[in-house]
Amino acid sequence: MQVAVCVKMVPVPGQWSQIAFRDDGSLQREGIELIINPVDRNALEEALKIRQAQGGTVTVFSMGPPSCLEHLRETLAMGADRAFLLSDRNFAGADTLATSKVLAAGIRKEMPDYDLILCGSASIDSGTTQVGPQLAVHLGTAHLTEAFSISAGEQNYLQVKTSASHGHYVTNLKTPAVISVTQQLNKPRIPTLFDIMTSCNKEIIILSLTELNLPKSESGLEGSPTKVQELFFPPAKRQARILEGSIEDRVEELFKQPGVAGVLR
Amino acid sequence: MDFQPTVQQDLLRKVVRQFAEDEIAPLVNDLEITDDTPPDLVRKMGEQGFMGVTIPAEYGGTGMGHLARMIVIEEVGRVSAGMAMALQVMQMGAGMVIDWGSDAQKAKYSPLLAQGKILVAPAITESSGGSDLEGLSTRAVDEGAFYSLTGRKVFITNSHISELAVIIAKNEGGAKRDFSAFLIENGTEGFRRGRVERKIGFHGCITGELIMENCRIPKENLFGDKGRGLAIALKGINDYGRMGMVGIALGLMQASLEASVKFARERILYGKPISNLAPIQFKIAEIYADLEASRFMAYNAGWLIDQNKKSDTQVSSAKFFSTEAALQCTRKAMDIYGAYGCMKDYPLERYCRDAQLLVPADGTNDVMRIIAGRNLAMKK
Repeated sequence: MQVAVCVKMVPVPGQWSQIAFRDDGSLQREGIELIINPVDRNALEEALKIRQAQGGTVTVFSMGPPSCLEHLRETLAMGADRAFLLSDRNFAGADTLATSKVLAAGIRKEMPDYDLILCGSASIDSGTTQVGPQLAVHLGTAHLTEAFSISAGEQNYLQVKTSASHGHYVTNLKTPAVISVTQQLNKPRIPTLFDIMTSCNKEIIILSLTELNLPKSESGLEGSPTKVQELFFPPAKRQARILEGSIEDRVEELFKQPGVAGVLR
Repeated sequence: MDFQPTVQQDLLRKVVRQFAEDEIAPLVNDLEITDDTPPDLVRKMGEQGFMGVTIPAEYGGTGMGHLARMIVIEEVGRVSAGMAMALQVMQMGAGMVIDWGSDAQKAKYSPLLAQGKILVAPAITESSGGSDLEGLSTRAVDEGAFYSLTGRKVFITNSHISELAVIIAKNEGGAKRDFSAFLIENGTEGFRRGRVERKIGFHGCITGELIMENCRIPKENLFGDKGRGLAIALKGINDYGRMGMVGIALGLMQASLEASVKFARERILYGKPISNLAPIQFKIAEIYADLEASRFMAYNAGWLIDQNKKSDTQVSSAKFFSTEAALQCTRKAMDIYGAYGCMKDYPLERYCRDAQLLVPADGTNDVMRIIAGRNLAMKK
């Protein structure tokens, strides 16, 4: 199976307080240490497991500045066969639509015969959950989101379990397809020192706007319809109430509180 | 001069840090209580390739070298000095077999050692000490068909979890400096483990005695050439043992720095974080300066070893400088924490106890000064 994995480099959570915003509301990431978006590692881990079980290749795609190269090397150390960095000054300031168009262009150019594309369900910096589904739309393929289990089905089908608000769905998904995954899916491996040595012999290819044959108007800030109107911290609303009486009374009272029943189901 | 780490070194640090935080950190509190080395953790470190970092690929390692080894120990030491100590001696044993073992010994043991499937404990120190090598009293008698060893080794790291030992012994009837090294497998007649020695720190790293009583060692288990025992011991201690202590010192200082900055930003005094106070900033700056100075000395020494250049002055200097810096830095970090630093709930008191163990191990710091001082002042 030919599997593509989309990964995003995001600021280290410990340095979020140092992140500044540009006038257009986008994040100013320069100087901030980056890591691979945690759930994207789960996507890569699943791709590696699929390759181990069924054969094929695992190819990583990422859009970002050249500083992402070292993190792509980490994906190669985890076991990916090759990696593409989609990097161009014109990609800066991209919203999810422009990002997904660039990723789709990269996959179309370098991996048109893909069977499966795996993405993390959301990034920890912006958390829109939009890129996976948008990518599927651009490529004209089926997609599922919030997957926490993927197993081989019959012929060109995968059996995918996805989260729902009060349970889960089981879907027989025909490939090619795009799946956004959650962190429940697996535990990503830690590369060994042997993997690090091997990764140094693998190739990371950088592709620019020109090489992707993508109009400038569809990438970066220019291709991003999302405009940030205002940035603000949501007002913190916390309140404490101590319930009294017998344990039965307190539990009964607790469940009368709005929203509690859904949380403690 | 290029101070930029290579892509491989950056990745190595990241990967080892992740392993240490995921696999070792959850065990640290238990290690403090049990003081045992978890076999499962040893197996995992072996699978990660930690023991084979200086072992060539043809013998099952990665051959990344001594500078890379420094990074590995530093990152493990940042989380657990005890596990870093156990690991660095596992690497030392594996490295000594590559450096001095016969082709047959290397073929038999190195692939297993490189992946942590078996461990070898270098055993040099005796109750008379470890720096006065000529004062060692373990004796080797050439009995014709075999060697017979008698003696007692103490303060041996990984003594009770290793399958092999490299024993340094004086050749009976030989000259003052006539020592040889021998490989002994567990189960060899006359070879046994003695008591486990309890330390104030490095918990999770077993230290104990190895005892030889007319221990019969096959001739093919002579390790290196006959009469080369002191050279084998000194190279092992210099390239691996002392460098290992430096790596642990770096880890403890890095941990102290991170803990200090975090606490100073969170601890509110007079309505403001104590990170606003100049005396706290001074201490943090001093910890940073000590760490960076030690790090440059350490990496330079590691690089020299990788280049097969003479390194004893640099290694000895790095050893006494960094380990004393670690003592001071862990103490300063404890001071920043105030009373919290004295609580078992925080790791600061552990850092201090662990740092103290760095000073006497693999040659006391006074001996380090003698080596560096003699080289600088007397040798031409």
